[in-house]
Amino acid sequence: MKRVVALEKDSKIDSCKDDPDFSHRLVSNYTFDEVEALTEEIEEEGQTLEEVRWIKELLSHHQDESDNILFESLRRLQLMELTVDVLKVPFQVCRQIPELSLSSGNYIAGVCNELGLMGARAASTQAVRSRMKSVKNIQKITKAMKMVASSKLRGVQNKTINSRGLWQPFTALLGDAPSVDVKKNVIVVITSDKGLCGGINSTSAKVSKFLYKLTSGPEKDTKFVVLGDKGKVLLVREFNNSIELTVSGLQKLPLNYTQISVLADDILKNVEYDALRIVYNKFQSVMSFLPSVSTILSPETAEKESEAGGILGELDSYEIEGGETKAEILQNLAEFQFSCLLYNAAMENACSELGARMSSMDNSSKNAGEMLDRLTLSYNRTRQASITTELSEIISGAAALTG
Amino acid sequence: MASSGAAVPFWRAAGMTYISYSNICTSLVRSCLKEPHRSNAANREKVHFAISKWSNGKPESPTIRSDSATE
Repeated sequence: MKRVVALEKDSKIDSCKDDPDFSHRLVSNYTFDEVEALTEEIEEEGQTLEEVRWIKELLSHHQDESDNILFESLRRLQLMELTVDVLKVPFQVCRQIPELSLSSGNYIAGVCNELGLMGARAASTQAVRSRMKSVKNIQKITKAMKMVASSKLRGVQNKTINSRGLWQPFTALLGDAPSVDVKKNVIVVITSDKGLCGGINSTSAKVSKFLYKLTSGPEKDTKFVVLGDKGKVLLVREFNNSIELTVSGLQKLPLNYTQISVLADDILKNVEYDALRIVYNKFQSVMSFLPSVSTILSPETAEKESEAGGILGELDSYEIEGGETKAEILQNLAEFQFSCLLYNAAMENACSELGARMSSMDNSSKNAGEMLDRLTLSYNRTRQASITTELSEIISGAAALTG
Repeated sequence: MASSGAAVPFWRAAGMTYISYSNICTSLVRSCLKEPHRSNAANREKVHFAISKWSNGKPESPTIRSDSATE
């Protein structure tokens, strides 16, 4: 079967190589077919074409060549790390060429035996090979992280969209006043505990630094409350004197309102504020996150603002039931508003974190794949260059011996 | 616009905030549920985080708030 195939390929090779020697050889068809089949398969690897042509001519004139040169060419084949199918051929070549086996048969047969194993130059490519292995592992890990993040995202996204309904009535009633100018500001920054989530934590830190500069001045006091370890690390260097509270370990359990409200309670008990500003990443879609700031006014500030007019000024038009005063209502509302907004902000930030982690892990897997391709190319190049070096050494050595 | 004249509600006099008041009421309502809704609701009540106050730019040792019922 192989012989027939080889004969057909013969004409193909003839036409593309234009070698006049082919028609004038003295070898039996038998041997040449084997070599031809060998050459054909090697051609598919591409870059070893020249060397293989040379070897083929050598083998086809094997009566004319010395044993040494035949040995070199067979060793060259060994170093090419050919596939198993191809390897069967030179094995048969050796056994069927009686001249070869009679003379230095053991030598050459031994080389042919080794054709199944790695080439002699494996050591220098070891470094690249180990690098390829580690890059492949990294790619697997990042793919797995992406899957985990996307599955978690689905659950949290539903909760987030539902939680948006919590603050909408507040905004309708009390309005949002981001530009309010007060003496005591407390900036609550929501970040993640874990890393590998893209740039969301650094954008939150940037926004909060900017807010700090915006709200600081004479007689003004700005403090930080940081949720999440990453934010703490980012802010501690510049603002460690302004940090009031840090919270971590929020993401051990799935987020629920009770947890956030207990946290809000703690914050309210520990800081004095005229205005609270929550900095978080709002979740638009899996790709895009918007850094946002929500403002909550303390009851006293709200009173002042309502005197100034605007939405808060219309609070008077509401009827108050239950025998409570407006100040009381405002105080309750402010606390509840803080808790609701914090809950929504924490959920949105969690969504953004998962989405950012998904896209950054996706990018890493893609980059790892590209790196793997480049490493494979350079690995092949290194391998072939070292083989060529060794071959030229052998040839010059043999020439020195015979010449 | 009345100022802080009228009698404050009992819970505020006791030092609770509105948030803690509503949380206690919530846990009361949750305990009125029957199984299996009760265990589903109990999952929504779990609290765990570590909070640490900072003074003079240094964090003090964190206190872990971990309760399954609200404060």
